[in-house]
Amino acid sequence: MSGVRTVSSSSANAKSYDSIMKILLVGDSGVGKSCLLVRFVEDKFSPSFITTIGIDFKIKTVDINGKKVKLQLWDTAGQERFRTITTAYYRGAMGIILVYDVTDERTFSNIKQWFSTVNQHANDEAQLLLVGNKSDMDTRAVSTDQGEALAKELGIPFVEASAKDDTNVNDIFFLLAKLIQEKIDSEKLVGNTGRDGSVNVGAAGNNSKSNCC
Amino acid sequence: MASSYTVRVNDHEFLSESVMDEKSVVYFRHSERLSKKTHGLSCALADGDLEALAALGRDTDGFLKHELRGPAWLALLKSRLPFDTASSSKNGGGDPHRDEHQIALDVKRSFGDIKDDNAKAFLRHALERTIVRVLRAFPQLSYYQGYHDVCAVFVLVFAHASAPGVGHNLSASTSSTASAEGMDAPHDSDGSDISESLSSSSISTKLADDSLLLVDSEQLFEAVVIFTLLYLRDFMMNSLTFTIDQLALIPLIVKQKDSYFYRTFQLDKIDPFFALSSILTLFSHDLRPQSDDAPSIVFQVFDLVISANSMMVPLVAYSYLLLAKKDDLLLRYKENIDNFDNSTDLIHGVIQQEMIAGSSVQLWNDILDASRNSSLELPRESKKILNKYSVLLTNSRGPILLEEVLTWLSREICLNESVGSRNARLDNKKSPVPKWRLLAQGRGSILVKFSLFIGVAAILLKLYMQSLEGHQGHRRIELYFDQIKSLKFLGLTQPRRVWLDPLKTLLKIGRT
Ligand SMILES: Nc1nc2c(ncn2[C@@H]2O[C@H](COP(=O)(O)OP(=O)(O)OP(=O)(O)O)[C@@H](O)[C@H]2O)c(=O)[nH]1
Ligand SMILES: [Mg+2]
Repeated sequence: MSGVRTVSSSSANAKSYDSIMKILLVGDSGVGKSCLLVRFVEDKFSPSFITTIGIDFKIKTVDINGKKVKLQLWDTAGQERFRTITTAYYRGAMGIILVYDVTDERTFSNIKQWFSTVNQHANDEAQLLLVGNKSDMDTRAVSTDQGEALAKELGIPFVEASAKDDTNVNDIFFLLAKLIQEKIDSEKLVGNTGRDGSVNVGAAGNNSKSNCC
Repeated sequence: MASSYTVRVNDHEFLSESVMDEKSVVYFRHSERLSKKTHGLSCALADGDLEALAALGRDTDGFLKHELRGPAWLALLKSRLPFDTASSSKNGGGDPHRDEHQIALDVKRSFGDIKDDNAKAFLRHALERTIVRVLRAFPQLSYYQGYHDVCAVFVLVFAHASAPGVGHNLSASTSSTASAEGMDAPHDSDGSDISESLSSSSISTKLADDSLLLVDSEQLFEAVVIFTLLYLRDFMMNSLTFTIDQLALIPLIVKQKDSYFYRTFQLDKIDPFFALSSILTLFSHDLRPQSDDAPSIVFQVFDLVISANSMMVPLVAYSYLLLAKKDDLLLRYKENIDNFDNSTDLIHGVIQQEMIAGSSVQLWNDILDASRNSSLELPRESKKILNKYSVLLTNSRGPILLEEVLTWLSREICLNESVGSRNARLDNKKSPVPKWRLLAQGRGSILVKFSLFIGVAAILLKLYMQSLEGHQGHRRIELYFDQIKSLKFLGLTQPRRVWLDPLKTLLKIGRT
């Protein structure tokens, strides 16, 4: 078996892809999680965006190193009260995108909280990624350096993006998918080592994260 | 039909007499019924005959149009919970509510499908004022994302557009310019100019075509306050615990009607979180309400809740929708069984693809009719699930006093705080090794085999015990062989259900 959940031939809608990756977006309300997703999946930024209530689910198939990978994208609601529900969907996530708004300091300082929630509920193997959204705006409150520093501290890769003017949006998802694929490939080599065996993949900024928090 | 021409009467299109056919006859019957109902509603409103009003609202098409809907809702709501606006805005109601930041974020994302920019800004303004005013008047309520969708339905019902040139008596109302600046006023101030504008009874704006859009903000506020206190309390605690309790009734309703589907679709195993946005918003989030006066589904859901005086309506409607779609759902379920990490994801994904998006107006009308005819009774197990101050258990026929509702509310809040953020049956523990990794390592099949082994052992043990007790062993044996056979047909889609059930009964393991 190559990779994650290799598609079985009995599956009715098979053959259109080689593997599936479950990816989750988390972060405070209003940071632009849904906008990033809509930009990536439908390539648009429309004024009729709506609040996410609970969990929303979208699919996009992409090409990674010649393989068709079906990305299963789970968009979560940012409001605190939904956390009991959204964490039920962390299970099995291979990639988790932590999003903040570069024009809103509060959403940036809450990233640590999100990081610990993720560590509590997601698989240890999940690949994380930090995203500072709304880079198009000139009312910036969090600098790129600050974003980078935090990413380094958490040991995860970092991207600044804008759903509005389509900066780095595809890169977010492709980078994440590649990192996941590399992780899977290397873990296959590592074999059956216990889950605490830290697997250090050669990807940029991808240090093994600790199990604490 | 290319040769036929259409005539517009009362804004409806129908075929002219030259091609008079069954369709036209149906249309005439329909329009006759509508005009009869309009008359009936107007009379009931004029006479203050609330029973007749509620009966008409529960009937097909609900309250028909906003002109009748607004007054009908208000009359019924006020009869249930007499509420004095003037006194309520005086006591308290000054200090900003803790959730106003979130409210602003959500209001900005409301009415996105309204074309006219002025109208959009105006409606958002009315929406924000209303929500903020309700929460400042009752600061013990917590705002949830989705409450804005519910309130947006009310804003649309209480907004009137009038044709250009029609004289309007604006002397008693403040004409609020809902331009961009007007929109921003409420939240970048310290709140003092809000209370000022909150006291005006109606606001209006001019649209691009010179017509006037107005909202009677007093009526809007009254209707929203009463609706909130009567029907939304469970959702407005500071956690989702009691909302999750309500969701748990959906599988029970489905089970009563179709226990096969209930089990096959794993509704006995997973939390029905997939229904969250539909229930929290009475479908107004998933079915964006149309801004025109068309007989839209969402308004009729609200019509039914108000006329039947029951928040069972959304739960029943959701359950009926699941049942109406069960064949498609099961098909998708089987198709996608390998595509998802776990049942929670699988069911959620299938439902999201199939249910809300894939439901036609016709289907929705059927669902509404079925809900109208439903007794709206609570499933038997409800009392064990719901807290005793839940809106599903406290709604009485007669009028309720404000003090009474507020007492329920404060008790419910206390209860909510004492249970903390108890999760329904959440299995939130990290699985030690993710399923995908097991699969990648080829260990998955061992698990399946092991559970098959337990299943077989359980069946044999049960059979053995039954034969000891001298029960009709033969029939049982056939039954279990049937189960085994059906398992073969179903492939590995169902092993858990078929195998675990005998195990559960044997070991008396309930759902934990
Ligand atoms: N300028 C700018 N605005 C953005 C961008 N992305 C999102 N926004 C704005 O931010 C608002 C909120 O975006 P959403 O995508 O709805 O936020 P969310 O994170 O999904 O929020 P919740 O669903 O409440 O958790 C949108 O209405 C957009 O107007 C961006 O890249 N640039
Ligand atoms: Mg969102």
